[in-house]
Amino acid sequence: MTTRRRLRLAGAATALLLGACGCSISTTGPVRSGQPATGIDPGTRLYFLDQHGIRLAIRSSAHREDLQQTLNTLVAGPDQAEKHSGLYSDLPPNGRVQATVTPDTVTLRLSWSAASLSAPAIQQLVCTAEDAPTAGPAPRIAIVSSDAPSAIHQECDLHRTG
Amino acid sequence: MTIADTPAPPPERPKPLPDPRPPRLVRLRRAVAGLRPRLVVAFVAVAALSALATAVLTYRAATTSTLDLTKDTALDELRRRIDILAPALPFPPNQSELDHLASQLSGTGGFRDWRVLASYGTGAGAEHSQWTQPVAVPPTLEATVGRGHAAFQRFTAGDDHPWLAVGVPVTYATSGPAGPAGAPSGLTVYAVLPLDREQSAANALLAGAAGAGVLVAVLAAGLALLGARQVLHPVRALRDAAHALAQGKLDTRLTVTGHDELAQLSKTFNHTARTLQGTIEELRAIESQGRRFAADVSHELRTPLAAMLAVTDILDEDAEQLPPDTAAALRMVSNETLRLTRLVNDLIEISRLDAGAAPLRAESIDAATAVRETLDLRGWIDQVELELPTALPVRLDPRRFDVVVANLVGNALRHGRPPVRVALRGSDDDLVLTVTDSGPGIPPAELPHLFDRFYKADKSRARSEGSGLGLAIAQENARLHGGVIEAANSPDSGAVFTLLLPRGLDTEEDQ
Repeated sequence: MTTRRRLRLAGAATALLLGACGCSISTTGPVRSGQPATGIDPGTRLYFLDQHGIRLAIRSSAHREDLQQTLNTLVAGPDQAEKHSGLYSDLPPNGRVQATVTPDTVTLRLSWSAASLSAPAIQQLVCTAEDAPTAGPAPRIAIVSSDAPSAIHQECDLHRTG
Repeated sequence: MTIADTPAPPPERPKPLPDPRPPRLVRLRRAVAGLRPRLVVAFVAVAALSALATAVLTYRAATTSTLDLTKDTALDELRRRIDILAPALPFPPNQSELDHLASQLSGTGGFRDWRVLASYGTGAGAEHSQWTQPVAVPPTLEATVGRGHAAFQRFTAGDDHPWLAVGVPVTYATSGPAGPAGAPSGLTVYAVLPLDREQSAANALLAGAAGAGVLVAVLAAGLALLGARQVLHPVRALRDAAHALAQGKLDTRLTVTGHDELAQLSKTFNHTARTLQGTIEELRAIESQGRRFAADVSHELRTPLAAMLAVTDILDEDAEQLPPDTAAALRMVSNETLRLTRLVNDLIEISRLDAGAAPLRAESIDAATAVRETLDLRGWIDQVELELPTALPVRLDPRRFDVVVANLVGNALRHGRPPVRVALRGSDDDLVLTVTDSGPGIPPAELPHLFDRFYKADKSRARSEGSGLGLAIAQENARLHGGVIEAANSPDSGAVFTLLLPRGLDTEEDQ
């Protein structure tokens, strides 16, 4: 019966075309495409000064030092390579900074008087503390010193603008 | 038992009627049997298929390029933004830093309305930025990107909405203790964006293609009808012409227009018709020539025959005084002259009938009386069994009716055996006269030729009293009245001739 065969053929052709169309956006599996992004620089992030102002120096490492260690490292000043590239610290070399973490705030207790510290030195402390790893959301930084028992809240100017 | 007690007949079960309609496929085939529907179906099918094919190819090409563009743009944009933001990211990052990165990437000014997920580490210890979206990044994509390849994946989620997920691993910028530059850092960033915009664009394209397809199909149907008209018009003309030709209108010709196959067919048809007309006219001319010759000869023979009859009549009266041999010869001459006269008269009669020159002089008569008179006149009234109605008023030519009846009865008396039965019956419209003899009947092989001219059923009898034209003349006369004579054998042996004539009563009022 040729008519039946012809009808069946036409139906099959239509079905094939419609099937090829899909008529909705086709899904895919994971398809590789292009290059990865880059720019990661791992390590402890310290802020020192040079002739242009405050600058980030990264001590390359697979891990970051925790907050207290980081502050200790900052107070210890730039290492040889950093000094060679013109970095210096405005913090007095003798003294220590004690960090206390509460859920909202990181309080830095200074062994110096606040008045003896320059504004860039305070920025060094604040920026380094902000970049240091803490649990929970990014904290605010408060500074407590011998001559200023009430906490002074500070923000890193670099982070605020950046 | 009274009628009321009669048990009612069981109600007839209605028989399941067979479906009078033919099967579906047969009906379909009948519906498309004509050239016009076939052309329309073929045209529409071709148009629909090509429109469909075009639509499908266009749809695929357009959708693919749109999707590729979206995917490439999303991947490039994500990569570019990460390249900018990654150096400021403390690494290894903690939860809040991942959240911050994700919010920076997906915040205001994000690419379309994508949602970004930043993830660090693999397996159970992996950290993710906060993710409150209903759509999750496909695990297969995470696996591929986790192996250090930028990748994308299209998937559906929710109410079958299409989504695009792109993932980019982030590598170290510099060589260090963690790894060489370009090694995967373990940070991966994913962006998920809805493809509803692409889907609606594709749907619009499809709707447009469907509209175009419908339009094309309608146009194709119109074209097919036009084409069918151009083909069917000459075909119908050809059919009508062939029909007319079959009805004897030999001067039918077709007007030939154009030079296509149909025009050639028309030309061939005209040629055939012309040839046929020529041949038939030739045949007719020959036939009429022959008939005219027979008529002329008959006419020419009538005058000398009349003289011969007169002479033989006189000689017959004197035959007794002649020697017996001479008398016998004389009687033979006389008989043959009589037979010749009858033959010539029959020939003249049939010539007139052939020429259409035999007038029908219809009168209102009583058929029963007419039959009785015919038999009476020829002295056959005692030799036949008559079966007549009291009266049967008819309107016909009495002389021709007499010829028919005399021929039929004479034929039966001559060739059949007695008793010969003549029966006359009448219905509302027709007169039926049957003449039945009791002879051996007519051999079946000869039945069709009985009314032919000069046909004699009994070949062994070379000579008979009949001219051989009697039944032919009777048949022609019956036809002249619009009737017919049929010959058959009765089941009880013996030939039956049936004369069927219209009574002609309905035309009586017109005259």
